[in-house]
Amino acid sequence: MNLFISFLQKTIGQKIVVGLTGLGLCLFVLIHMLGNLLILSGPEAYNNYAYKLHDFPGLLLLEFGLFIFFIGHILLSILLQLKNKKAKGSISYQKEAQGIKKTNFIHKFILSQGILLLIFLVLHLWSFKFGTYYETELNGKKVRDIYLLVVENFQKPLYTFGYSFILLILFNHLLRGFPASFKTLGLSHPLYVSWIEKLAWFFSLIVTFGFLAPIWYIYIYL
Amino acid sequence: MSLSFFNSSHIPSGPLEEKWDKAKFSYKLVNPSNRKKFDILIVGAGLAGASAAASLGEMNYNIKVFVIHDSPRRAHSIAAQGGINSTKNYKNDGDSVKRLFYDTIKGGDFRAREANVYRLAQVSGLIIDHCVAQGIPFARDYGGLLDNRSFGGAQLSRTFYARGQTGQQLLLGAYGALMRQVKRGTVQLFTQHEMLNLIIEKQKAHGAVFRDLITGKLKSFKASAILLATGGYGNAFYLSTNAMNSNVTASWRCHKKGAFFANPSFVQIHPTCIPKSIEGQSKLTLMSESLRNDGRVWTSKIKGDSRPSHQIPESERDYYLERIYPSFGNLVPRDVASRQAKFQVDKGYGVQNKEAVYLDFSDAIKKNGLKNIAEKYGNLFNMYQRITGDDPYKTPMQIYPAVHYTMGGLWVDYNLQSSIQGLFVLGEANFSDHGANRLGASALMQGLADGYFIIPYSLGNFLAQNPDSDFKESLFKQAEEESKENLQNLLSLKGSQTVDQIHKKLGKILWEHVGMIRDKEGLMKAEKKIKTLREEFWKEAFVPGEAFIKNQELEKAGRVADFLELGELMVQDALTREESCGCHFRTEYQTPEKEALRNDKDFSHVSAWEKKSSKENWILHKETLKFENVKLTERNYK
Amino acid sequence: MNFNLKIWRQKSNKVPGSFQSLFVKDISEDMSFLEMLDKINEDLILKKEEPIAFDHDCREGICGTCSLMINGSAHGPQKAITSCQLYMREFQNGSEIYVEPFRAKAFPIIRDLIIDRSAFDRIQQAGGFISVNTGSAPPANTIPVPKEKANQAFSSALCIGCGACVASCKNSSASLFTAARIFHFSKLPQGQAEKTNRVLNMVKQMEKEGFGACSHTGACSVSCPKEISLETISEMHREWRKAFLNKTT
Repeated sequence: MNLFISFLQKTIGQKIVVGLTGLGLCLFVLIHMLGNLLILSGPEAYNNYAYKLHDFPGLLLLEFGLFIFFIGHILLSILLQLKNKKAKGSISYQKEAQGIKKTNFIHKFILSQGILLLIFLVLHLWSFKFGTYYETELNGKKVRDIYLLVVENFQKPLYTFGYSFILLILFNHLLRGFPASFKTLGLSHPLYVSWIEKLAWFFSLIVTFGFLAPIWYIYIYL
Repeated sequence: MSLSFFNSSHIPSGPLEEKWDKAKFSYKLVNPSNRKKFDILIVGAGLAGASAAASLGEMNYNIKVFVIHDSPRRAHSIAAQGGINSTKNYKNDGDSVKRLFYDTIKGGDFRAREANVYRLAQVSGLIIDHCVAQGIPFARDYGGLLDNRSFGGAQLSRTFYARGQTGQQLLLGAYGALMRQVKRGTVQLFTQHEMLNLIIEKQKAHGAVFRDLITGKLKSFKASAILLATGGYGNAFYLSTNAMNSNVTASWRCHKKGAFFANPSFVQIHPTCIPKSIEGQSKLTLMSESLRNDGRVWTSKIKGDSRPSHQIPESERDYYLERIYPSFGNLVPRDVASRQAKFQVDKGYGVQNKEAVYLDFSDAIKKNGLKNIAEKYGNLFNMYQRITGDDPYKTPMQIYPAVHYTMGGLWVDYNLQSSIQGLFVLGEANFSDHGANRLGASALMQGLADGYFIIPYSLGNFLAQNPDSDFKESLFKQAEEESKENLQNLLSLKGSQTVDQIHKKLGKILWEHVGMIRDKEGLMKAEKKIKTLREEFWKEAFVPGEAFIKNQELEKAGRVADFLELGELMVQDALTREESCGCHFRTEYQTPEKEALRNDKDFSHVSAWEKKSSKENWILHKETLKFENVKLTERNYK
Repeated sequence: MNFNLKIWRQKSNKVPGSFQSLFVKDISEDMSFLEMLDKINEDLILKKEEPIAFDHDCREGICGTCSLMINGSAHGPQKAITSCQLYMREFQNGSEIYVEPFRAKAFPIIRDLIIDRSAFDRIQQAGGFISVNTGSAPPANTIPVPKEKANQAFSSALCIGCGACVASCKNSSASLFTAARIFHFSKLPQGQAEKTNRVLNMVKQMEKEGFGACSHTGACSVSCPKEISLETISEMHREWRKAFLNKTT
């Protein structure tokens, strides 16, 4: 325990935890996205999945773990950001670098992105986990009709466009965070660093499209 | 006038090979538990200073290191490109201590001390061992063992290198070792501190006055011994390959307190530099001598030829070094190569009538392939292209000689002690090992030899015999007052010329008259011109700003004032040395083939100049050089 | 050529600074950026004004003293050079050029464009060396070092300690600087004995000096005059992770 606390006090230790939790959360969004794809195969499939998930005995433990990952990721990131801001000092440069030394767009506004994602997370939980409780019957059992709620929500332009916007931010966050996590963990090497970058693109695209597809399907066709 | 003083340059008697061992055995030792009591000030932390500080720190002396830069790693040793010589004989081409000794003595045109040079060759192997252990990434061959290349003035490969950045790597090694001692607490580091005065009593150094270059405050420190490792004075010429902040001030202020200045006119003009192109140019950039391994130097055979290089056919190209010196070819020593370039240009063969000759790699590229050449010299080629805008892979480089290194410096005995007791001088700042011309890749060797392997022993010998430093408050006050007054005088200059403008004028005078070619008439003229210029400086210069703040112009002004005095001494030295040797080429003394003509009967000595504060003129002391192991011959590279 | 310069002037760290506008004429395209500043200073001095204080020394890109942020880029817009190697021919005639000091909390301003980089020295003191006393080294060829390893070590040993990495990092992190030294030694057999302590101590000192953390944006490596690879940082993290676990368990 002492070891872990002392690890958490070191900047690189904190970075490593952010990276590890980040990769864990990547896994989570991947699974979440795969689950969402079930929306495309209709209400039964999706409600069944939701029901089974809810019935899963270890769910509470998993949710708790997920909660810890989120909290760890968010708190440490904010802590690091504060440190970084302090290191930077109060005066910023008058001009921004142009040409080859220009900062890649994906690295900008990282804190604002994180905060947006955090706000989204709260809203997201509020509107779905704790949203209207519709009921439906599945194989003779009464279960929550989460499908209905999803459809209801994503027929509203605000939801669909809002979610799409957030997904773009998530895309950026993944594209940037995924390879950075590897580098932070020291799992990068000249041999395969370019593959990690490629994998990051692949992963971020898959996840983003995986999330976009069902909501736009609902918005356009239902 | 020869003083009895020089009967004790403290060279041990006996055979050459045994002198250093004999000296080391005769040295008194300081008990390890007593070493903490000794305060040593080290001024400058380039190769010599940093290596000395590290080694003495390891021995637990109490050390303070002062540098004018913001970090010891900025010292100009960092810019040395080519490499470092050593007698390892890894190439199996017959190298030995004796051969490196002979090459260096001959390369210096027999104006260096046999014993010093031999010792240098003896410890050269230890330097490589130590540097490898420090993790310096020297070039290696595919078997993982150290690689060598050849350099001017030698017919074998004994130069160790780290691409074109050998100086940087060696300095970072020494700097690392120094930083380790700072952490250990044996060394205290004072960055941005410039030495302004030496505190002496009865010809013994007791401390020094420094100016904190950030706050402007003066601080004095007492010392059991002071080590100067402040580099050379090539910047007297304004345009040189030295860094902008390189200066003679610490050495000069010691000289004015009684330290003899030896051979001040021995200035190395390096043959391969990028020619001057514009008026406002601030410095010249060196292209490593290693380039002459593969590059061929040539000019057009036609006077006043204004054609670009590619229009000059092979038959009309004069590879003049290969023509005049068939056995050494393009690898003749620096002084010879520089002089020949000047002759070519003076005769009207310069590149498109400019002060430049070609250094051509097209044959080497044809023979070894572009890749091989790029691997060896890539960074130098890039540097050249950036500065000139020309691509040396396609068109030949244009080069011209430039001031690079000063063989002269404060006089030291065999133990590196100056004529002031307790004041030791290391590296380029002393005069000892290179005679009238330094061979390539020998400067790094000398700096590190002095710092790692000589001063740790010889300093102990001095300290063991001078255990108490009697510290007098009044002396310190007096020295501080002197420096304060000097600074005030500088700040009161409110004329109409910048310090740089005057410095440029001095540079021009020196380049013209005390450069590659000298003669009596020119030197007499220079003497007058410098005197006038000095008066001009103290009347016409403008020094802005205040004393107690970072003030770069004030720093410069103090340094230029010293250069102006040194310039005069350089002329004096060149005038009185009525012979030609190495870099010192007096047109009155030359062979029919226009080679340097030495006069061993009358000038086989070191000229050591003493400045007495009471007198205007310098006093010349001559330390006779005895050659018992080499035969004095005409230096022949044909 | 003519330029419209905006140069940061600040008398000391205790007083606030601001930009001074200077219009300069008749600049040769073969002048280096610093030579242009020389010329401006000469003019300022002759007008009895205070010249601009700026860091410079070797003027050939190796000492690491010069330190300008030119139009928001450390050492100007070109790759792999220092400010002293930047020539005016790279700029458009008549353009506006902002010149600022390297900014970071750990690099306090001394005057105008001069900054204090002694934090770097202290990071080196924490472990930027191989502990070998003079005289105790074995013969040089005792341990062969594979050419590839020696080349790798050399590629990061090239660091000139200018601080461009810190200046261009949005977090003012000194990771590239610190990692370069660690990488250099970790590639060599001679550097193995102190590996653990070196990385732990150097990283600790880097934090203590108040530098930020690395976000792997790569801005440092792009600005680095010696093009030191971002991989060194990854290696540093790996070394640190291993060292931390080795040391504490």
